Amino acid sequence: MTPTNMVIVRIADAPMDPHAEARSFAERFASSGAIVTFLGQVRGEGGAVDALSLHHYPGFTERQIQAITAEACRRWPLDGALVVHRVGVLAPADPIVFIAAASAHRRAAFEAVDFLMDYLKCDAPFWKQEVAEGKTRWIDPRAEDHEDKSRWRANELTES
Amino acid sequence: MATRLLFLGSLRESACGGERMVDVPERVDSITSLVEWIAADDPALKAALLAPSVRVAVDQEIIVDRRAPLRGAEEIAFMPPFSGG
Repeated sequence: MTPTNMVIVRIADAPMDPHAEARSFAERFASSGAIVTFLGQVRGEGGAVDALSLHHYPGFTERQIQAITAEACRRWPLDGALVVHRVGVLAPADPIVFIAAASAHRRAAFEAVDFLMDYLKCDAPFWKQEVAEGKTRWIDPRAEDHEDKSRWRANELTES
Repeated sequence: MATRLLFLGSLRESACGGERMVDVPERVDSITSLVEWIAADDPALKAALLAPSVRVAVDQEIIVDRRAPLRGAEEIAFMPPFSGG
């Protein structure tokens, strides 16, 4: 069973500081040989997007992300993993998601962060509105994100 | 008993509000019959809630079978496809 102190998941409704998150994660996992981090930022689409409004289902969303992160800790030999995800109104270039993984060696940490990001784009319960030209519209899932996620299933089949 | 209904994402617009408290009648015993009851006068809402892509959570657990018995739920959430973070 995955020890609970290995997995840290937070939904943040105020701006996050990814550098502070990275620093404190590295301090927490100072004995891990490899720390990999990922930062997702709001794309401005060349000025076409004024803002994003990101919604979640409080309680449910956190638990779903915790489950995905615990799965990553089962699939790879991780010492720990962190996911911090924004909700609320965000402007272009704002940090939206920060992921970190710690492991003895780098391969596990790189793959776990990639896996977590693919699943966050498809399976994490968020709903997004885009504000552009004074209009607000709900955004539908991208087909490409679902294709990304299927990579991990194909890998599962070839490894066994 | 009083049950909280949640309409996430774009369903908020379809339901004219993201959240409402309702007293679910005894005869409403499944998600399907709950939708029939909520949207009795609103065919557009009924279609939106019954869409196959909508996921339903009862007390924050996803349920797969909308005909399964529904008893004593405190919270029921209707969720359109996730748009990712």
